[in-house]
Amino acid sequence: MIVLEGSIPAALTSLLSVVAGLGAIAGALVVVTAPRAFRAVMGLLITVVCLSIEYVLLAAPVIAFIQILVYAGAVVVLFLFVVMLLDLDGSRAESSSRGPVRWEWAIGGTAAFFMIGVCGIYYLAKLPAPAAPAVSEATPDGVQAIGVTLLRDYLVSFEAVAVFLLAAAVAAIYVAHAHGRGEKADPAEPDPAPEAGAAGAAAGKEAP
Amino acid sequence: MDNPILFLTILLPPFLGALVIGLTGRYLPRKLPGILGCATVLVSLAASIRGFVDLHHVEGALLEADFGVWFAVAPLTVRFHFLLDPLASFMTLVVSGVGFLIHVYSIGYMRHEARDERFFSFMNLFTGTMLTLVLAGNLPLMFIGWEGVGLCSYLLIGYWFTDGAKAAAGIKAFLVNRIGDLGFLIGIFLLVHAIGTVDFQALAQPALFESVGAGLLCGIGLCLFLGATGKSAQIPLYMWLPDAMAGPTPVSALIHAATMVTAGVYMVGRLGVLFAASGVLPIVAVVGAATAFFAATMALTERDLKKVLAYSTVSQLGFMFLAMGCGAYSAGIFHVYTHAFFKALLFLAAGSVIHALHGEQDIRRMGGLLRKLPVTGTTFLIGGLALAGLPLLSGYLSKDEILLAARTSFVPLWLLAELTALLTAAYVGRLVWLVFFGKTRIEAAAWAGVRESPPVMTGPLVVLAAGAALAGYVNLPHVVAHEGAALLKRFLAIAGEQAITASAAAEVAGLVVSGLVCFGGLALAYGFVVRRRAQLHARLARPGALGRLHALLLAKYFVDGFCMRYLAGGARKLAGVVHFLDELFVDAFLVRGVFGLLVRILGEATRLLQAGRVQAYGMALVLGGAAMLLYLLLSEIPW
Amino acid sequence: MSGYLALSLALFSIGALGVVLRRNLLVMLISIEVMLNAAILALVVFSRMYGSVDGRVMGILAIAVAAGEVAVGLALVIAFVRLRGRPDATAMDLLKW
Repeated sequence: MIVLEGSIPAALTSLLSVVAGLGAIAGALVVVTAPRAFRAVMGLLITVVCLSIEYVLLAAPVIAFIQILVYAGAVVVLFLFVVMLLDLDGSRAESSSRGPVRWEWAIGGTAAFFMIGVCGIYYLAKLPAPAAPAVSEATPDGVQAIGVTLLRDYLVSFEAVAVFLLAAAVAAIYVAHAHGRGEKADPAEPDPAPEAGAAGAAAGKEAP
Repeated sequence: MDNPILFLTILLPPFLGALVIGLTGRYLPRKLPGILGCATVLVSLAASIRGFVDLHHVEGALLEADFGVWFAVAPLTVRFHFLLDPLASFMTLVVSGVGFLIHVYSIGYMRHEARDERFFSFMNLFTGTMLTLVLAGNLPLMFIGWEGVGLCSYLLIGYWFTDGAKAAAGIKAFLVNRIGDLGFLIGIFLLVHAIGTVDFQALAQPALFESVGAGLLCGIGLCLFLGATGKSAQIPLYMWLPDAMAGPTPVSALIHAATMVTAGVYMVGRLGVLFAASGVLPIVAVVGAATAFFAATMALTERDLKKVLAYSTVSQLGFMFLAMGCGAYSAGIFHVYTHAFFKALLFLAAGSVIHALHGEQDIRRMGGLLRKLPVTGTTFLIGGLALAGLPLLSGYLSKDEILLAARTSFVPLWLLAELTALLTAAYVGRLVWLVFFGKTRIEAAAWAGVRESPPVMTGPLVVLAAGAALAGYVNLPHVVAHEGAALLKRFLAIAGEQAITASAAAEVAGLVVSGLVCFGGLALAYGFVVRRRAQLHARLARPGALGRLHALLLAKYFVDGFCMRYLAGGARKLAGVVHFLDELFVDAFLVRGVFGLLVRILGEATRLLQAGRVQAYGMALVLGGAAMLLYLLLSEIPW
Repeated sequence: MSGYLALSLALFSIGALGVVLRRNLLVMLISIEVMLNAAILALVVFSRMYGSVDGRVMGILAIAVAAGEVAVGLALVIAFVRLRGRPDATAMDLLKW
């Protein structure tokens, strides 16, 4: 059980949290502004790692581990695979003549951004302070509690997610599969068996 | 007494049969649709007989079934309420009984058709809707059956819809019926307005109509009678029936005998109290007598075998309405019943003849067929004589009742009716002679190939022939049977029936006159058609009054031509004017002008929004969400 | 605590900007991931604020869903690139027809 609060000075904790937050925002900005897909993936990686630091600071190390495992370990790698597979940053990159960003919409987007920001800050300011002091210090992140809740109160959701993942896997394979091409290619290939047989026979003749 | 099971067993089988045959018929073995169709009607018939028997043990002679509320619009509540009183019971027997025989006959008649499941499906539906009409406990429910038989007649008359003329005949039947149905519907609305009930049991109370204004009541009666004229082919809406011959012959038999055309007569009987109170009965009687007479004259010169029978149906229906108009409801229903036998028989026998001659319907190209078609010919003869009113056959007895009623209420109508009866006997004589007797006018090669129909077709003919001969004995006149007289009349006990009092001498005189009229008509036919055919044709060919009359009758009083020219033509001219205005004002000015431009501008403007790019829609989503947040924020600030 | 929520808000907004403004399908997908991360962060923060473990459990479920979403999304990108030859959202214009 990792109990950071108390063992590390509070000032250091909040400094770390600010740095990690700024890092996450910087990563997100890289995602949005990166001209190449590869850099965008790297930006995502930065965001993900920084957020996992925040989770640890929020006394939720299990989420932090899962975040690292699933996002940094699986999702980002998957993105990288696709970038390389499709050779997105090579011959088929976004056409340079129009640029990576649709500037004609940037104004609208920015307006929305600020609207959301302003409203969000307003609501954040209004947010009532939590009545009770957070999670009890003794079990800041009870893995047991998470497990029990997940498999008792959220059992249906849990099972549904399981089925969803299976369906997603099947769907991903189906959608990404090159329909018709593989089947067409197979009969075109010459059957190697007769040649092998003939070669074997020839070898047999030669051997004695 | 409540007995829902009985009603379900009468009503449901034909509908189920129609559904099953119609939906699955094409996958069934070849003959199964026909057998299924017969079986369902047989179940209905059995249930009808059961109901008829039960009725004798039930207090008040009334069986009911209530299947809940259909709709309720205060103060009117219409329920799925069916009732089986003697009148309804009698009609169900006629409908399902004769209908069953016609179904059996159809198996033989339709066996050369590649596919017959559509036919049997519609026939079952026809029977089912007619049974609904008969058993309905209130007017809206009856209207369902009323519309149902109209629909089925359309479907069956236009059965061979690939033939344009036949499809047109179906449409004509439907449209003409529509006029009558509209009258019926308006009548129901007026009734609701005036009295506030549509329930038959409530409408059988004469006291109900005392507080209603005479004019309104008369209007209700006229509207309902218009509905009856449409369905029962009376002047002015009789034109559809002769054209209805376009359908397969069993359909004609079903329409003319069991189901469709008797609906109007039945409705008048069902609403007997209302009609008696409304004061339109004289109109009913006059229309009936006039229809009977004119249709009989048209039947005299008709050359198409089935159309002669069609006009004779119109004429006989006229007789029924004459009886209804005289207040002798049971006499009218009695004639419905005997007519169902002999007219079904005549049509089925005619179908058998047409079947044997491979579709030939022109009686000028027949003759001498009795030798080739003994069963068909004999049964046709019996049916024809019953129609002509040969003494002791069913038609004689029922027609005599009507004539008696007419004589006691209004003598001129009686004279017209007797004249019509004379003409009836004459055209029946002509028809029978031209088809079955004398030298054949069929080419030798075809003559050799004429064969009697199979037993599945002749069987129903024989049964119906027995019915046509003997059916009349359920309702004998007083003078003959004394205590056992008028069984049917006493059984039916229709509300609102007017008592007819006639002395024994008058009854005997009526019977004798009817017989004489029948023989007179047959003698006329013999004289003109058999003996002096050549002279007759020569006279007709010369210009003169007789020739002109003949031409007038051949052209059916130019009614169809008049309708086409003035009604249809007028409608077409009106449509032309409206079309021109439509082009000029609506299309050119409004559609292509003002609003067209507006819509175009709006469309061009909104087109820009629909960029078709995913991100544009995403942007709209984000902006919309942001706007909502902003709205919430602004609404919280105390300005 | 509201500092964390502000961070979540900022990440969410930046991610939304990326989805809307970038034309590269892959970058759009990555931006969606950023948004998802912001949402998970908010869940965890609320869980901490109210002393309840539910938010964290939901966060775990959300991460699992995000993994599936990435798999399907990337498959779609691959299929689209195969179809159109470039991962350009402006090439996704069939809705107009």
